[in-house]
Amino acid sequence: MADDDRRFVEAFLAGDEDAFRQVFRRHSPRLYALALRLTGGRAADAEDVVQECWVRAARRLAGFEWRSQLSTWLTAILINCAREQRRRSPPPTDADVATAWAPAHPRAQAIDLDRAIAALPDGYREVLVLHDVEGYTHAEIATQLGVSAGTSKSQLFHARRAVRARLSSVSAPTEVGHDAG
Amino acid sequence: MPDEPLTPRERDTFAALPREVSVPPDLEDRVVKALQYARPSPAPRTGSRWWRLAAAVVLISVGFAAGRADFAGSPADQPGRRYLLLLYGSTTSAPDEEEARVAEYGAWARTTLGRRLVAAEKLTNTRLVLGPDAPVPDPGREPNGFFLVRAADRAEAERLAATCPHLRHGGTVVVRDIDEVP
Repeated sequence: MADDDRRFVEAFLAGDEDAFRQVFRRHSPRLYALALRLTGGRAADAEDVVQECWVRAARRLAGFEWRSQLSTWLTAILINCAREQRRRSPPPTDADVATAWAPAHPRAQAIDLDRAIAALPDGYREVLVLHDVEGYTHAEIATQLGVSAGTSKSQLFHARRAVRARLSSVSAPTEVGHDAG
Repeated sequence: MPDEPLTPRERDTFAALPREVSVPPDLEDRVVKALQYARPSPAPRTGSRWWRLAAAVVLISVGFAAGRADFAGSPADQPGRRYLLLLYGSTTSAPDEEEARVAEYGAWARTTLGRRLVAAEKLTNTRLVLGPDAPVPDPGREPNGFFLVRAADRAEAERLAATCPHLRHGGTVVVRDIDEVP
């Protein structure tokens, strides 16, 4: 995928609109899912975040040196866009989450989990989404968010606790629970 | 800090979360439209208008970079009312300053106006005045650009106008209500 990304980006930089559309289609479903989570499920905000992410990325693509995956680079841009968007928007509601995620979730537990994630404070939510959903390491998260790895671990600890507390207060034992492990 | 590992059940639940979601069908075109308003590069590499994408410095018209074509439809289709933010004074002809101004206004349009933006344009000095009682043109008293926004009410439109970077450059912003004819 990385080779194809580079080929499409180079074509885009040479003026090929279709190449840009290819890059957009390859990465936007993941970026949009991430934007939905980082904005707490506010679909309109997530759309704005993805759009702004691409506008900024296009502006900087010529300087991208391919030392990291394009997806990682785009994620960093998107995180910043989401932070700016959150400062302008009211806190998300459960209804935002349900509306945004209902068509995409395969089972009820997952949407409950996304509700719990949306209810987290912004700092907790960023780390938990990047670590437990996106699969980034603490070192990578530290780089992405401009914090220390220790802060990332601490935020994750508190985020998981908060998610468990929220789920245990609203759901049956089949949800994410407190069993040992 | 004690570790707080996920249980196997929790890992399964996290694994079930969708990592990808279909983007709204019009988002791709909106992004492309936004990029089409990118500022031309001084040295385009091809004859295609898409070299402008690669240059990708946002133009004042970026107002439109928000690219929300859906807001350009019938007023009755959209919530809120439309307001015209007319920009007067504080023009610049220095290329560097113009470029910086354009980027600044574009960033404001995208980040502050966002989905509220309907349209925006920079106006040239070319004008034709018609009519028997037409006033003598006075470039100093005519708008040199506008942002058309959709806001919940006039108070919101005024709050948006108050954040317009044109004010920081000594310009004037006038907020006019659009008379939404049913």
